[in-house]
Amino acid sequence: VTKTILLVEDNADDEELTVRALDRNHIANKVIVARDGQDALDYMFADGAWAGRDVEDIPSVILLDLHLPKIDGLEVLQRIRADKRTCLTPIVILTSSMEQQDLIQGYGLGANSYVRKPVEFDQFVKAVGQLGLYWLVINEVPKLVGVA
Amino acid sequence: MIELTSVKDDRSHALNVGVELYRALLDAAPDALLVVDTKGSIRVANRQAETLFGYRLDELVGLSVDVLVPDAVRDVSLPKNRPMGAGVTLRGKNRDGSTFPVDISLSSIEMKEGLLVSVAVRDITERVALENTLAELHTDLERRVERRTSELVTVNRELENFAYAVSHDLRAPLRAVEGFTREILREAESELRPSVLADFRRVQAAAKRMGELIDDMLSLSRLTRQELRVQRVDVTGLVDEVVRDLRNLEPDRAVDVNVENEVYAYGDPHLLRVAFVNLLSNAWKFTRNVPLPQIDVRAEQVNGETAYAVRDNGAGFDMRHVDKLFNPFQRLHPTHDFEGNGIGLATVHRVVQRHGGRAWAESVLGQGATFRFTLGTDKNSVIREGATR
Repeated sequence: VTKTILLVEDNADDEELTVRALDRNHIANKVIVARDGQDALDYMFADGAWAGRDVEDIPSVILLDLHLPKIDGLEVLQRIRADKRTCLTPIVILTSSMEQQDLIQGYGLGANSYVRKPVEFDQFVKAVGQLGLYWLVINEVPKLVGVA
Repeated sequence: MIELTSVKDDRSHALNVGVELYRALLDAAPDALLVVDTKGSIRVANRQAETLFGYRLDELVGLSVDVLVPDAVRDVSLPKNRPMGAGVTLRGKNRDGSTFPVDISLSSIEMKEGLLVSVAVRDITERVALENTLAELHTDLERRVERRTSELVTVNRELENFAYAVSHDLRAPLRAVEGFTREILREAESELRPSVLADFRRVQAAAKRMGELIDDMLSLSRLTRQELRVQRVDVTGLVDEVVRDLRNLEPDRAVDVNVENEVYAYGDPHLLRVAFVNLLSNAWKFTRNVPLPQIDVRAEQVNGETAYAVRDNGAGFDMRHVDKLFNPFQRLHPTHDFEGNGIGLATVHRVVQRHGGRAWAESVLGQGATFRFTLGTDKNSVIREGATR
């Protein structure tokens, strides 16, 4: 089973930094990048540009930014949780925002973690390393075999 | 005989004087006066009645009182002495058909020939107009307050959105600046001249600092937006806790802290903690170069109000700049002497302001500083909470 990471990020710099941070931590998993909310949902539900993809091949973790073009992160979260095919996917909100509202709503809609991107890259590398270790190595996810 | 005549003359003279006086009194009354018999027929009227209702005196006498009342309210029973129409506006009717608001008081007069009712009628057109104007002004004022409040709510929401945008949008490019300079250094550190390296370090330090400033700005704005929950706060206990945290952060420093026992305040516990954290951290920081650092926290009475005072024997500041002390991002010491973003005292000020109190400071440069604040919430006082004051 390939453990993919779905990175939902519209900022090219942040995308690059995240990929490099994964790299620094020797996380060699496949990283799929969705650059807006619609793209992320298309990936999850094998729709649009991702039509034909195996829906049952769900990512090991989704790193989800909140401020996204087309469909914002909270709605992406909500729609992934609302569908029984994808509802158990681990989702980590990875954002700049420390607004209480975002935290409350994020957890309220079923986010598994909420991580604020630090300004300092070294700290970001550490945070990504811990996330990778936890979600890709330590954490166990139920097998969704047979769920259509 | 002569005597008799003279007595009779005197009597009729006295009677004449009486009638004249009665007439004069009647006409001197400020209100329209009518005397009505049980059949509702007018028996006596004065000049004011003439003016008010537009009938001549001789026309009024013998006229039914009903004529003076608009049809809609013609239901005059004859009660005992009492002012009528509490809460209801009664109206009178002029000969020309126009009506006007009146106050009416009735009193019964028992005569040998039967019961009479004296009716005093006062035209209250002006008073009613005034009351209406007042009511209009009141409504207008309420409407204006409502509008202002909704404007304030809008502005607050905008502020909130602004803080949010600042949080997100400014931090993202900052991460790129910081992250990619670090990456350049990682790749090319060994090939770069020392002066170029030093410049890159400056870029990184500046980015880091900007990140902190953004965070400070955000927490300051959050203080303003947070709801105020006032209760009794154990200041002594709170200060002890904050000092314990400071000691844990810098266990090597020996600072003599004296906190007055049994100090209480009425305020928001969270906000008060924020204020004391800032004041005590300042005192802690600015006593760093003093051989025997001392910090003193007590409650004092200032003009009948409780003031909370934090005194230290540290670096102090130049009183010429005291007016800038509580401004955000204002610093009175260069960063290389004492670190900080100049947000601490602005935060204290914001906390105090939200409680309706004031904050002030005094110092002698090189000998220490004292910061005091009141909360405007002494025991039993009610907090007036404006929309994000």
